[in-house]
Amino acid sequence: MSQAPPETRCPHMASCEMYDLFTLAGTVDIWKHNYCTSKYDECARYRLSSAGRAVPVNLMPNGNYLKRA
Amino acid sequence: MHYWSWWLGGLAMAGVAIANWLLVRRMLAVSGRYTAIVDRLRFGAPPVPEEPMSAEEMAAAIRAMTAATFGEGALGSAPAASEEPLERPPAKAQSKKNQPKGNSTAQSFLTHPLMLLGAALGGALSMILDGHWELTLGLRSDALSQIVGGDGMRMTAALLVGGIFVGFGTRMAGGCTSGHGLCGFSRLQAGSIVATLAFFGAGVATSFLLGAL
Repeated sequence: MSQAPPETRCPHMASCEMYDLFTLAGTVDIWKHNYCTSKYDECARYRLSSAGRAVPVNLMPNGNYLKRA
Repeated sequence: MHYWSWWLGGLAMAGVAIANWLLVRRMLAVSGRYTAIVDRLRFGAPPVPEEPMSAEEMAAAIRAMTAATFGEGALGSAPAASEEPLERPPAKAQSKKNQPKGNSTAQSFLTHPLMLLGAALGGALSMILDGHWELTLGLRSDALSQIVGGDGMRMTAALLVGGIFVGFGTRMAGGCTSGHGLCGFSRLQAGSIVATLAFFGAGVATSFLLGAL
């Protein structure tokens, strides 16, 4: 798959803990496609980080928080 | 305008800062209270902290949320291989050196508006006790009054514009005269010393400028 154009790639990808977890979770590319490499300005983590706020580890891009499955 | 003696005001402010630390174990911060209120309005209530999860548990939780959000079809059968690996430094455990200093206790959101209300009431109380209390929308500054007028809309507008500048400045500096000037400076924090020198340098310069106009 071709790499997303730089302007659609989240500039926080390299430091985002959740991005690592998406990779670890293996089969959940849909988060990356929907947020990290496209509409990253809608990502709850990106918004918090851009505002200089601490980003909870378990905050998902859609604003929900992870709970133990 | 009648002010408290400079030394009495200084002692009172130091007393408030020290009492704040002794009572709630937090550095005194006024602009930080505004920030907390704005953040609450903007981002909502912070989540209740979850129990720490291992990476595997997080991965399982992500898969569960993925299925709940996008449907089971969003979960592929093979590990994703479409994304190129990112060049990134290894994750660092938060060292003691990098942990926030000073404010170690959680506090209720209600403390923020209460603190601001207390500041306003304290100011009013000091004026009442001093026998000079009077409701006004202006600032009893002779220099500013001469430029924009005493107690009218122009004075109110000037204060509003000044307040906006103060808001920008304190956010850019990460604190105001209470946080940097009282607490940071007294702890010899380099950033706070620089910030305080900038605050007061700009204040003195502005005072001379207004006096010269």
